[in-house]
Order: sequence, then C-alpha cells, then structure tokens
Amino acid sequence: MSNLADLSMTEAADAVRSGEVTSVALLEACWQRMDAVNPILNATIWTDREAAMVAARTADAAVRSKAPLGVLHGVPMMHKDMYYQAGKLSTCGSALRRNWRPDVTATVIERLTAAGAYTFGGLNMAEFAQNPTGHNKTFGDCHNPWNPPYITGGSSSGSGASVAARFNYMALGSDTGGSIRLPASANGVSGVKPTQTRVSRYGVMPLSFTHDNVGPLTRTVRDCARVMTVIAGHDPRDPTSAREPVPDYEAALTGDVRGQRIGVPTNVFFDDADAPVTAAIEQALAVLQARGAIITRLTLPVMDAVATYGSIVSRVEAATIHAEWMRSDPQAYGAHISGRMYPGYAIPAPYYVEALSRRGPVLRAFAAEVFSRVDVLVTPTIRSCLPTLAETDIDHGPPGTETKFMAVSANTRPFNYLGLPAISVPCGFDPNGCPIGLQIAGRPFAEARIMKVADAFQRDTDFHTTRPPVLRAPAILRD
Amino acid sequence: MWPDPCCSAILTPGAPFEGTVSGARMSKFLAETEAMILTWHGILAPNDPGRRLAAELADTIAAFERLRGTLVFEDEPASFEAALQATKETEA
Repeated sequence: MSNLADLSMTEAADAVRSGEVTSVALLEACWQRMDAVNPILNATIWTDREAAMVAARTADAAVRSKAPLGVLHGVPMMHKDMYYQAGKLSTCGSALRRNWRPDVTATVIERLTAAGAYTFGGLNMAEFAQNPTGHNKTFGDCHNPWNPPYITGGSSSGSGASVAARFNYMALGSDTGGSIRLPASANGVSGVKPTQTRVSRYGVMPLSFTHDNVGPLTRTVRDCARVMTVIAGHDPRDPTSAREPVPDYEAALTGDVRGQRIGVPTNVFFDDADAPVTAAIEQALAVLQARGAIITRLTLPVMDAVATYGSIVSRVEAATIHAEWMRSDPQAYGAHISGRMYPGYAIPAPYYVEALSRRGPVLRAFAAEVFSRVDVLVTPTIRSCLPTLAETDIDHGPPGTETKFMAVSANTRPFNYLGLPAISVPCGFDPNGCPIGLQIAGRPFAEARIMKVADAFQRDTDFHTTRPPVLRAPAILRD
Repeated sequence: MWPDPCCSAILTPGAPFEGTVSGARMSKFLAETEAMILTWHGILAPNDPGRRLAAELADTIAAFERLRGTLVFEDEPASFEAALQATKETEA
C-alpha cells in the first residue's frame, strides 16, 4: 500500500491492532491527503489536529503495552458536524450555531470512542441537515470529488466527499430523507440508513424526530458492518431506541446470496429514470443473479400514502423545531432552507397526527405484500444522472429549481416514512463521470441481510475501490 | 433583516402571486396560507421559494384528500413501533 490513507477502515483498524502501522501514521496520511484535496472539495468545517495527535499517540501506546484493543482501535475519523462532543464545536452547518459548543456527547460518539476510534474534525453538511445536494450558505458548498461542479448529495455532504477522497476512513451521517444514502451514491461510497430506532440519536442534532437516523458512510460494506456492530443497540438516554439484539454484522458478510429473493419495483422508483442509471442497475442485478440471487419484478403497494404522509410528517417536525429562529432570524438560513420549512407551518395538526397514525398500518400493508414475495428491494439511490450545484441552487436559480432539487431524494424518502433499513453502494458512473448508487432495502432490522447482499456485490465489482479523479491532482500525484 | 427586498412585491398577504403557480384562485390560497401562518406562528414568508412551496400545499391537500377514508378509528402513532416488531427480520 503506497498511501495509508487509501486503506479501508477495517484494513486501517486491523493494521493498527496488529502493530503493522501506527495510528499516528494513519492520521498523518489523512492530513496530508486532506491538505491536498480539501481546498477543492470544501468537505470540512473545522479540525482539531492537536487533540487528534494526542489521541493517536495514546492509541499507539496502548498497542505497545498490549492493552485490550477495540475493533476500531487507532482509527482517525471525522463526522458530520452535528454529532455533539462536550466542549467541542458543533456548527450543525449553520450560521446560527457557528460557535456553539454542546455540553453533552452523543452516544454514538461514545461507542466509537469505546471501540478505539477518535475524531480529528467536523465535516461540512447541509445547513441543519436540510438539503439533498450539499449546498451551504454559511460554510460554502461541498464539491464532488469525481467532478467538482456536481453535487455531493446531502445532507451529509462532507461525509461522502471526505470518505470518497480518501482522507477519512469513516464518517457518521444522518438520514431523514436520504442524507446518508444520497451522498453515498453521489460520491461512490457505501452508506447505511438503519431501521428506525436501531441506533441511538442521543446527542445528535434533531431534524425530524420520527424520521431521523444515524449511520455510517465508508468505502466498503465491510466497514459499514463493523461500525454498525459498534453503534447499534438500545440506549437508555434515547428511549426511542430499540431493544433489539445487535448481531455481529461483519460475520454475516458471507458472500452467499444464493436463493435471496431480490425485488425490483416496477412503479415509482424508475419513473423518469435516466438511461445510464437504469442500465447500471440492470447490470448490478445481473451480478447478483450470477451469484444465485432470484430477481422478481413487482409493483409496490401504498406508495401514494408513503409519499404524502411522509412529506407531511418531516415538514411539520422540521418546521416546529426551527420555529423560534424562523421568527427571530429567518434570513440567517439559506433561502432553500427557510423556504422549504415555511409551508410546514400551514399543515394542520390533524393532518400531521393522521400521517403519524397511519405509519404503522402502512408499514404492515407494505411489508405483508412485499416481503412475502421478496427478501430485499433494489432500486437506484438517485434516479437521474447527478445534477450540478448550479442546476439545484434554489437560492440563486430561477423558479422551478425546486423540482430538480427535490427529485434528488425521490427514491430515498419512502424508506424513511416506512422506517426500513437501506444501503447505497456504488454500481456505475454516469456520462459526467459521477457515481451511480444501488439502493438495497429490507424489512425492519434486516441490516445484516442488506449488507450481505451489498457486500456480495462488492466482491464481484470494483466501483468501491475506484479512486476519484480529484486524487490525480498534482499535489496528490507526488505521494 | 426584514422584509426581504428581493420579494417585497409579494410580501403583503393578498397581493398577486407571481411565482410558478398562477391564477386568482392560487393567489387567494397563498394569501390565506400566508395570513394563517402569520396569525398562528408569527412567521412571515422568508422568500420567494417559500411562497412557491407554500402554494404547492394545494397539491398536498389534494394528495391527502385522495387518502381520505383510510384512517381507522383505532390508528395511533404508537402503532408504528408495534409494526416494526411485527414485520421485522427473523432470519438472515
């Protein structure tokens, strides 16, 4: 390996644990790469190199002393800047929290730390996690490492870009309508949105308390599996978190998908899809079929209810938690943020309660019809070829830009209302050189199954190991 | 900070709507929506995208109307957690 920053997260962790490399060396490799490419990408909001170096040296000392080591021992990480760490900056991507420092630490950060990881910065993100593109009025737009004028996807824009550009081994994202899967798709990395309630949200900036999810973005499915094993599980500080047992997700990655029933929707998810996207998905299905999976085309039920109710719930919840700032300082938000929240105040309470009340019955109806026939669903993560930042810039674009903007998340939002787990992995490239994502969704708590299918796909493809063009910049060629 | 000069022409509730959705009926709907938000929440339309998206609530209402009759008397939000358990994965 010529550059330690190119290791996957699990490779990096295992190399530190075995004493093959030091955590300090990993950290320095990430810094060097970050210094070279981040001026192009704008993926970070802040860094704390001094504290990170202390953590790295401490991790290396633990290896030398043969202390018990966690499965992420010595791995430097940066996360979307909305995971609270007591006393550290957490901007939530907004001018309204530019200097805000929480007094609590998120449970997921504590679990990653207990497994041996440490953080060295905070990543760019959509303002308050509220766009699917990566635009940010305050900290600047995040740029795609495959083609910088194109969107990174959002809202976990810096998470996707930093992992793809190989200066970050793993980044937490959050997913309320696709904010993990969209940047995973747009940046050519792997990202898991867990089942609603699977991962604690304590100490995580809220957006929609019934739709928010915490999950990883990494270069490989195996990396996601290891992180999920660490962060999933009940948390007394988040009463909404499930008491479901947590399996060893990494152990489930056997590559064996023989007999797995893969459903491909004939409605909604391919409507107006671009031809390169459809072709990439069909090729991915052929890969899985060659491994023994069984492909079934089916019409999904209750999709109108999913779309209508889901949009009502998320808009009302976001509007509610931002009401004070929308009254006192509305111009502090980007126009696309405040503009999208504004209609939420007009939705009547009975609509909201009905939308929430129907969530359980809609899930039951969906699951009964779909999962009696198939084990997982496969769709494009984003139906279209990736748009540019300019094409989706509501703040500066013409009327109608909202349509292009909202279309980005059309295929991810349904699984938030349904509460189902879903993963996005890279499966091709569009004519502009931007990645195409394969979304695999399963029934509640089927994270092991969707990751097994996704991992099987990665065993036969190299989209996840292909390096983005930004790494061919002159400064990088020197290393 | 307020009002936003770029959209002052349509700041007043009831003024003609000049966004993507046209017509007197939509102008009336938007004006009523803006007035309602101001009355109930004390929040003004922050910008033109906000107005355009507020006008599109008419589509939300239409979509909601199409789902009328599906709500069952016993339905309640807590049924979602029960549904997650009832439909969950039992083997990988």
